[in-house]
Amino acid sequence: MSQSFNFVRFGRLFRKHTAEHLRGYLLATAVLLGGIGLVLGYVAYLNTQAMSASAQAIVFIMGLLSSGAFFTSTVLAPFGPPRQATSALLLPASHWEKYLVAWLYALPIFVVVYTGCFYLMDALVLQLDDWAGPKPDLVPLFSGQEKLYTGLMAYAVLNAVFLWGSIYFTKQQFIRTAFGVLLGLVVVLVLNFQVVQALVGRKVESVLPFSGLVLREGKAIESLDLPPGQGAWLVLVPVGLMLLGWAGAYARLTEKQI
Amino acid sequence: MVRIRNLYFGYSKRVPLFQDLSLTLERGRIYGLLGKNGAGKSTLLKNIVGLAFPVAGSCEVLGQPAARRLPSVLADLFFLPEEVDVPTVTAARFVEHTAGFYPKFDHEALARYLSEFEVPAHAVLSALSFGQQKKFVIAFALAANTSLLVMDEPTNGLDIPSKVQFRKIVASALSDERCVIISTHQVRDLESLIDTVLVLHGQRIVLNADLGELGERLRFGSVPEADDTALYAERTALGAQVIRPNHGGVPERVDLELLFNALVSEAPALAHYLTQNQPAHESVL
Repeated sequence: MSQSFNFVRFGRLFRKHTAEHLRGYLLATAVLLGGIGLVLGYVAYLNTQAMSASAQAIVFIMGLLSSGAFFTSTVLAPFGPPRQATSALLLPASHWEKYLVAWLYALPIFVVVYTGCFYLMDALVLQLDDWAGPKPDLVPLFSGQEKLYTGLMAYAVLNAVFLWGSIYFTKQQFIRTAFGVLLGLVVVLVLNFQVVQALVGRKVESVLPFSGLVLREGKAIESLDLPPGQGAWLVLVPVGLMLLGWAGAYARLTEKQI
Repeated sequence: MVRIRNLYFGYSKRVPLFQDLSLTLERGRIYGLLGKNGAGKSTLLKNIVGLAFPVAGSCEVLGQPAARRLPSVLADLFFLPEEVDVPTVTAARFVEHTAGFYPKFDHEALARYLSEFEVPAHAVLSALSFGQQKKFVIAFALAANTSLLVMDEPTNGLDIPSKVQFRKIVASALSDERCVIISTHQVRDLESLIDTVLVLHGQRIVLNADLGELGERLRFGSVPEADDTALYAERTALGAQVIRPNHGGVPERVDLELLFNALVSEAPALAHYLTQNQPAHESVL
């Protein structure tokens, strides 16, 4: 029997995790349904027109990122407190299997459940909306116009960061990770600004990491952008961050001590 | 079964908990690990089961480094921590989803242990009292039939009848294939249970000896006044409790509490005597 991955052992671990968390997950799904319904209902109530596809898309993406980050913070949390961590770490399954169960719940399963909940509540709210005109359409998940799939990609990156936070911190994982992310962003932005200004040797109006910069020369404002061919490489930054977060979370699990 | 060589460990580099600690534990024995508060008993057990990693040296369980936490090793090892954690499911459901991880799990034995401990099999575990939860986990640990069973302060939180049942059940669960390690600071709880005593003191194991062999070499008793033949003496209200060499060869009952006090007070005569006449097993002092 493989010491890294075995389907029978993984299935057993997945069933155990599901059985022990089912009640909590069902309650969380009910809260998610209620939350999405409230926000969509409030938006529909405030709108004097039918709810637009872009309004639905904003609610979808904001809800996915916020609830997803919160949920992801819980999936490896049992490895934090010593009492829980003892039984979790010593359960006869490999680190990889334990990690994979958490990852599956935090990413694919969560996305499926969230998407299902969103469309259920969205359809209900659009149906109940007493807008006199024709009923608006549900926002499509895969369309070139609203690009909801970009929200899914953004969630994958956020998931990696919060998955790492859920194993790195031993308590208050969501708050600590969110604080760390904000602090990290501020530090990166400030350092990036200072470094670019020192490199350029002129007053920089604004600059973001991995992007062009805006320079001010007297009253004139100049913009300096990356060559079009190189801009496409920027997509590697979130992908790299995502892979780093997942690998970091796994490494942290294998090194976890009590 | 367990092989620790030159273990160095500390939560802080400046304050090592163990230095050059070596220890071998064998199948077919019940070890009692004794040590003062803060001596590192729980930490040593964590090193053995792979919850803490050596800074230097090695700690192997069933021929594998404990820190790797390989599934094959974990399936043949059970660790009962001092404070147990149970999920919010019934005992029956927990067993249904967890027993399969332990290939030698004995469901009949579990039912028997639970019945002896009077733990309801269909109760929600998290709703049970701490003592009941602990008894359930003890029963599960014994029924898992793992080759290595490590228990940290197992009798803490148990009432007096449960402690008696615990000793009886653990004694009945021992086989030539199993190695049981029990850590405690309540020496009297172990007296009729263990066959080998380990004493952890001063960052190392100062005694690893068979109780029968110790009983053949040492005599424990109370005297009005300690004399020069005593390897260690402890004043009491009625005189003194002493440890003396057992020259008669008739096995004596080992007073674990007195022996422990002698070892942690670093009695030079006792240390010299035990070092001079080491039993075949593995006595360190």
